[in-house]
Amino acid sequence: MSAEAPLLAVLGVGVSFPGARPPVRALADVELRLLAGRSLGLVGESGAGKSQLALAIPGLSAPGAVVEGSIRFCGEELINASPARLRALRGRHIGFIAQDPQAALAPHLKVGTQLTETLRSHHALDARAARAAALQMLERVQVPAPAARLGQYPHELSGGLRQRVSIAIALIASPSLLIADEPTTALDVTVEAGIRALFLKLRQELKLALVLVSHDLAVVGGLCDEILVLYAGRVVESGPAAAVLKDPRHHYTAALAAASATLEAPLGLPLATIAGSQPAPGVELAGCAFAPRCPAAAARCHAERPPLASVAAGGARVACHFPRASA
Amino acid sequence: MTALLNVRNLGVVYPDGGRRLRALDGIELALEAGEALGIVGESGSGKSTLARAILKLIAPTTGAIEWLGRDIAAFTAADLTRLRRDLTVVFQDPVASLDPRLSVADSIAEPLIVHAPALTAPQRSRRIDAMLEQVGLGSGYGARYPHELSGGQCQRVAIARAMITGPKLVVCDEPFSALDVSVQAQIVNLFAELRRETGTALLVISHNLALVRHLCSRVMVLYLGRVMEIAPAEDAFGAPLHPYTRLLLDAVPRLGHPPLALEAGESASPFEPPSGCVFRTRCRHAIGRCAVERPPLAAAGSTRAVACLRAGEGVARAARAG
Repeated sequence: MSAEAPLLAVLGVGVSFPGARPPVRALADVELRLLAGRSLGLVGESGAGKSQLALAIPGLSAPGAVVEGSIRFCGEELINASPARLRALRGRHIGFIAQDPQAALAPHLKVGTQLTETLRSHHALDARAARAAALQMLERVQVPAPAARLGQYPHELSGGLRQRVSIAIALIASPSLLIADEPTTALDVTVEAGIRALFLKLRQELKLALVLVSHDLAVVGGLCDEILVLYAGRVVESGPAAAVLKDPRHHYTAALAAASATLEAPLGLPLATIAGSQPAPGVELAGCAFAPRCPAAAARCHAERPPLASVAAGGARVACHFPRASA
Repeated sequence: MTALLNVRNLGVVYPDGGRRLRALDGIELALEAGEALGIVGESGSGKSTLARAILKLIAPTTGAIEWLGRDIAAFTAADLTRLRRDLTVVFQDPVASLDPRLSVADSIAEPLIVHAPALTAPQRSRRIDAMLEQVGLGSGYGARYPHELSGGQCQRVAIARAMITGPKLVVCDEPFSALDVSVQAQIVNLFAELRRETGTALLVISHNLALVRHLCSRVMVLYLGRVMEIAPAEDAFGAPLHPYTRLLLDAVPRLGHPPLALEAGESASPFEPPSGCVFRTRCRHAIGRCAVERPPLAAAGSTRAVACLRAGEGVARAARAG
């Protein structure tokens, strides 16, 4: 464990929706630490809780959500922080990029206004300086003809350009943490590849810490130092991304990797699948939530929930009574 | 032998205010019975327009679509009813494509009531139960409603509904994109199994090249409404001949590789397609001729065709670095 104080420290975080029928626990006992300038990928399938975690960190959980535990950003506790304080942090120190750039941009405001608004409210810049900074940020996110874009409305831009503009807005106040929730899902593969390359460039240039939500292991492998694998609202495996992806110790991580179709896999065989499905929202199992689908499950797995425990030097941790042998 | 489906010089133009959007331009395609053809390309490539034209949901501006040798534009009402039995569709959003007020069994029964009216209710139930087993749900699911099912289960119901009439061809429009990774794999396996068991041909529109490679025997690569390359899937993705196919492949994230800047920008506007080869404005191999001459879709060996003036030089062979 590093002695350096983490930029982000999440401890025992749970998100539940007690008003839902049945009441749903979307996330439980999540723990993570992210150092300044490092990147973390949150992976898992729909319903695993990865977006819930990404939303809970900057205080963006949906109305009706009860968030418990501790989320510390630069040492400051964010759970139960005032809405005004969270808004100030989001504008200035934590950038957030949503899945759908269309929804994230105000349709009635010009790109220039949306970029400079943030700056003028959080940095008290005059109009001219704000415009210059906006232009510079559009250049940095590689928007062609940036000066002309300032006067355009979001609907005049392609999906890829809209996502670049929303990245520019998230970054314009120079945050130290960027949270991106499936930022490329709505985009074409080629455009997606461009956005991924942009993230890599921005992280190097801006020394930015990144929390990236993705369902794609290869995307996380290419962009992230660390990985957190979620299943049914709990962390099942975490550690250095390269090591975890190369040699997953949790049976779910391994099954997810095997089910991901690649361009190199041999043809003529059925794709590997994971039998069954995640427990339905609201269903709490006494043991490991993956046990009903796990090839290695024993009686103990159904009865007793495995804690997240260290399995290797370098910080790899796994929540499994019978982890896979190291390759 | 007559192909199941023949698309001849198909062009579709959408009017848009004062402008004209040429969504498809000169598409040629012959699909044999039992074949699985993948159609790939970015948004604006025309893949969904092609599916709609084949399903006779839109009329071609030029050219023709022939089903078993006859132009579907000239089909009578009786011909069309038969076509709806033999040519069915599975859409992208499995939940939205099912009527929420109908039970699973009632959803699957609808096409049977239209196309096999002679069946008695018990016969129909038996067919539906067997179909539910075949798509891996089990007959117990018949009484359930879409909101009680997961996305993957809804997609299985949609597939059962598309298969119940014993079609010759199922058009699948982005059937995997709303599904989780492990469920995508299940649905790919299901389609492959159904095709093997029933001989039904598949036309699969998807932006997921890896899944297309697994499911389809052949692949057609579209860009701005034109065919760039058509080839056996393994060849197209293993050794592409068109630089656009290469670009699509290079964009796929690969485990253990950092993302690379592709420097090919975004798709050109379909309202103002570039002269000559439409891909030339994004192609790093483009030369002067590419702006002037429209490359014909030319045979490259017995099983492939490519529309690139420089295909013979092997320009698309080199994968990206890294």
